[in-house]
Amino acid sequence: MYSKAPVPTVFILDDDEAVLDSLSTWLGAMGLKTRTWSDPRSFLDEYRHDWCGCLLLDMRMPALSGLGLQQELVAIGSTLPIIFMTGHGSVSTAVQAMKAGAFEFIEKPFDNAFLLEHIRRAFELDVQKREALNHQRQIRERLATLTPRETEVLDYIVNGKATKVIALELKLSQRTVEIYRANVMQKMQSKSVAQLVKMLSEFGGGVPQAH
Amino acid sequence: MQGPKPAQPPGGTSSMDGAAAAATQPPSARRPDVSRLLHDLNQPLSAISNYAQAGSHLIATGAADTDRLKSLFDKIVQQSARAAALSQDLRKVHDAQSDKPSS
Repeated sequence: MYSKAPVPTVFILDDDEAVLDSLSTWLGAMGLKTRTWSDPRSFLDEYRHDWCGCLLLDMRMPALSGLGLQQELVAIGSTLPIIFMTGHGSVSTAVQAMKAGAFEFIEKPFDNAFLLEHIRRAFELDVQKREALNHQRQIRERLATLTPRETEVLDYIVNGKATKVIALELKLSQRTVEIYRANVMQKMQSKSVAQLVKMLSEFGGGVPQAH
Repeated sequence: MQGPKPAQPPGGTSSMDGAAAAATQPPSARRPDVSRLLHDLNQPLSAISNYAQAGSHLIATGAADTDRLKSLFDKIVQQSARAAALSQDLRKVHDAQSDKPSS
């Protein structure tokens, strides 16, 4: 029961019970899984990083504004795409929301087919983001298995240094550098320098300093 | 990060706290009231549309049963009543403004 992969869900947050219930009813009829909250605080209390899908968020709520909730989610590292719903669109709020990484911004009353299309695209984006994060985590885990010396050699390799140069700079024999090099390639599960460089550029964090 | 916030002081620049503002503002400042009512009117209208589209989809896919449809219709009726009441409120605000000598 707890081991099954999480189903993409539309998480809906709106302080109006009728809007909440009707959205959930309609999306449910369309075959989508939904969860609803009328209080942003209880949503934040229950929020889990493995929740996938998207968040349909009312901009205007008494306890905490949509923008405030978005800030808190960003602060805890959530990447769940957010579709904002607003009663009367204010351009400045929309700009703020989009700058903070909102996926979409729609005005109530909205066209349902339009919203459904946004939800499907948000689901796709969420999957892509999760895959990218997962990939980064794998690379981080591989980097963590390197010894300080191997990390140092990795740094030289990705900077295009030849074994001979590395050996000179680190005052090691070429044979020893070759062993480190082979260890690095094996631990990073990389077949070529080009692949290694690509992996680390995707990782974005750069090579950790070996000291 | 932020704890539960106390209500913002009246006269805040945000239009987000229209309800609090409307409650504390002098009666002469009616605009937030209208803006709030218009916003509120969208809620039942959205709800009606959502319920109706849910029902329509259920019928189209053959997944509709009578009880479920009845519940949807009942909710649509409730939300229509809510919209009608808000429309009345808007009418009152409008009338009150029309009665005032023009400034």
